[in-house]
Amino acid sequence: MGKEHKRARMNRFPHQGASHYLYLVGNTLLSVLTWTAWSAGRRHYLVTHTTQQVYFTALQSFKLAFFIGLALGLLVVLPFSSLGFTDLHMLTMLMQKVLFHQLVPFITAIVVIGRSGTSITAEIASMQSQQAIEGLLIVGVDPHQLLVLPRVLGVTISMLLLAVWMMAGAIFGSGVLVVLVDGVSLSQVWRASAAPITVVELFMAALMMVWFGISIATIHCYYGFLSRNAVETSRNLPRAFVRSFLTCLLVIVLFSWVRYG
Amino acid sequence: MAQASPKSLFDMVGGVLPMEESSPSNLTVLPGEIWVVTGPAGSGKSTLFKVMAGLIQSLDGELHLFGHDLRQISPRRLLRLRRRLGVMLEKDGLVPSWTVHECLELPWRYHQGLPTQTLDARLIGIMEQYGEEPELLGRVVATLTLEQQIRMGLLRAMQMEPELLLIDNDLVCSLLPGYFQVSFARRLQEHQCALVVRAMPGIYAILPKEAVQVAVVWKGTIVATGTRETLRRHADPLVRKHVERFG
Repeated sequence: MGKEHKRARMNRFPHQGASHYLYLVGNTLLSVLTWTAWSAGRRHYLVTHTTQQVYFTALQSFKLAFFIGLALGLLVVLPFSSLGFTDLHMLTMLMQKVLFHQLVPFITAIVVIGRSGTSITAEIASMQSQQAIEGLLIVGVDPHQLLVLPRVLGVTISMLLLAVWMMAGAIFGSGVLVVLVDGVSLSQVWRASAAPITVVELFMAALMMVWFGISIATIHCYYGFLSRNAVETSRNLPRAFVRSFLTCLLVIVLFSWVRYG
Repeated sequence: MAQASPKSLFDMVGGVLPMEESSPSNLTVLPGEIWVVTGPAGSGKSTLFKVMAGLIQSLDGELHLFGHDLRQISPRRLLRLRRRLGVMLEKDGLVPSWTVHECLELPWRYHQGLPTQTLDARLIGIMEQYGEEPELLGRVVATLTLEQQIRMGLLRAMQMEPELLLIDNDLVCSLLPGYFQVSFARRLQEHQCALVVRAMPGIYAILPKEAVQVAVVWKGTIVATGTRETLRRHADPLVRKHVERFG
């Protein structure tokens, strides 16, 4: 009897487990394709909620991202400077390979997972426990379109903004050190840092950040939808963190393999 | 397959789960009727409410909502049908991080794209009709007292002037103040809105006893339906026990 009750209850969304996650991602992303058929009200909610997400994830983290970038720049360049490797070209190549390709995107992802991902899971979980998701369905609103899509767009845009800002911090931090040790000008450092960045590099970096953004937002939304009460929320929050962390790690390994493999 | 009665808002033959030993009764809700759903804990009352709202699919039985077969209906049509329903489940159903205004304006803004000024006027009007202070509209749901949350949840269920109102919240009777109960009953009567409500302490004090019909649920199946007087003489002691419960 209990099992049958469970089966009946679980039919609220048409799929469960991994297929529910794929349904969530598919339904959310496919809804973008029908953008032209959307009512003015739906567009209003998409724009408002996306803006709120960007404000919370990117604008409120700008200082933090810049500070982390600054520290990363110093930490990467400092050991080499102390060992006497002060060639500007070599240092900028090192920054490109270590910071631009790997560290900055990954640390940005961790910042976003910790700050916004967990908050997304907690917010959707609290809606679940108050039956607000059912409340949306009852008034004819698709929760995936109202809640997931703006978060995916907001987190993705924020990932791009934060990565650029953290990279600026890293260039500034390492640049100041190089200027102090080598006596070159800051503009020389800036030009040397920007020289190896090609259109393909920028495209690859943007693609990786978009992938991170979609993964983080959808994984955290998914775990939010899975949590039906406070006990499940406390279990699902760390699960969501670990799952999105591992996903980002896999993505960065994949990109490194494409770049260097 | 049984056909839904042309005027009925909701028809159900059988149960939400595959039937075991009990023989099922039919539940047919007509405009203006009041139904109280009762049964032991874990008997499937909440599941029945969710099935009626089309939130979960029934595993058995035949169900018609506003004349449409719920087991065959397309998701798009179901979304449209739900707009004729008012539902309050075990919790208030409001988004905790939104203001009351944002929660109440959602269906009108989302589907009809109504501008802010029109929404403001409409929501203030609703608050006044129910004797509520319009200042509550600006409050974040999570900061409301439990009583206020229940009132706002019920107000949201009523705001679209539904034809069928489903209430599965057993705090409604104990937490609703008298002025709200009066406005609530008046609105139900004005709109010939049918009410299906979960049995709870004090339920018969606020409903017109003679008009109430009772449905007894057991193991996911409606095992008996009828007026309280009829069911008090029912052969099954379980039915009699739950009809007597709460007065």
